[in-house]
Amino acid sequence: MYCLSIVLADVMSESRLGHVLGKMQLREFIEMLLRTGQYDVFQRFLDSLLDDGKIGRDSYEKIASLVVKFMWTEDIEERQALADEISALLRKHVKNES
Amino acid sequence: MSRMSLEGIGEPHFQKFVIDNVFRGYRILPPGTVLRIDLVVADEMVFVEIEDTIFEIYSGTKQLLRLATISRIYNVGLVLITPFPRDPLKSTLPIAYYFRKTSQAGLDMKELWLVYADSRPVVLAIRLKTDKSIPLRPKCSEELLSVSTEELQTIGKMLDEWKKKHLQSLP
Repeated sequence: MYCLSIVLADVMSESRLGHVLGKMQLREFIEMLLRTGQYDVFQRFLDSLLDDGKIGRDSYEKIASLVVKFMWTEDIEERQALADEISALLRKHVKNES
Repeated sequence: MSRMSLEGIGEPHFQKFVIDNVFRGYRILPPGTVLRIDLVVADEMVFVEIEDTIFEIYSGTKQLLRLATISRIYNVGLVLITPFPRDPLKSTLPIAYYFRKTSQAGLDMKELWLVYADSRPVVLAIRLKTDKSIPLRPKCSEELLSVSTEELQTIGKMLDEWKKKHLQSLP
């Protein structure tokens, strides 16, 4: 599936990310931020996608809502399912709206 | 010299006497809590953190969490104050983060105040339905938004609606 091959450099300029981070898969990046509780970094990333027109306001709202749900969920399996959903949504919307 | 004089008894012992007798029943932060002050004494206490951007709710929360243990021991409320967001959509994550992190730390007397400054200042106080209110209210106009944890998922949208309603109510 083409969605799986999205790397950070596809959604953000490498000058902002750096070459190494640019090669990181979007999915891995999102999951790392969520699992380590770096919601501020996640927000910076999401805000820049919105400000650069890579995602729309509806997508932003939907993703933010899922992240809040993730924050408040303690069940490990449910958290994994939410992380997968957030990552998939982000990849889908970035692809569709860019 | 009176037999009851406490002069020279030693400051820690005199402080203990003062705390137990003079300030009995008050909330008291002991020596060392606030630099250069022996005690902080009040009927009610609130720790206040002020940030001038919505994004800084993240760092403001971390600041308040450093006081979590003191807050629990002395039953001190917490409030984080920021301006009302320019773009409410971007406030969903930081607001949810503030309530999540402070709840996880066992703090149940907390609010978030969003200051809307138009023709006159209004504080929109956000509180979780399961939390207690803090013993401090703004002196300007205030509206309370009591939310469930589920409602935090759409708090940005709620703020957007509140702003539209507020603007319509202005003369």
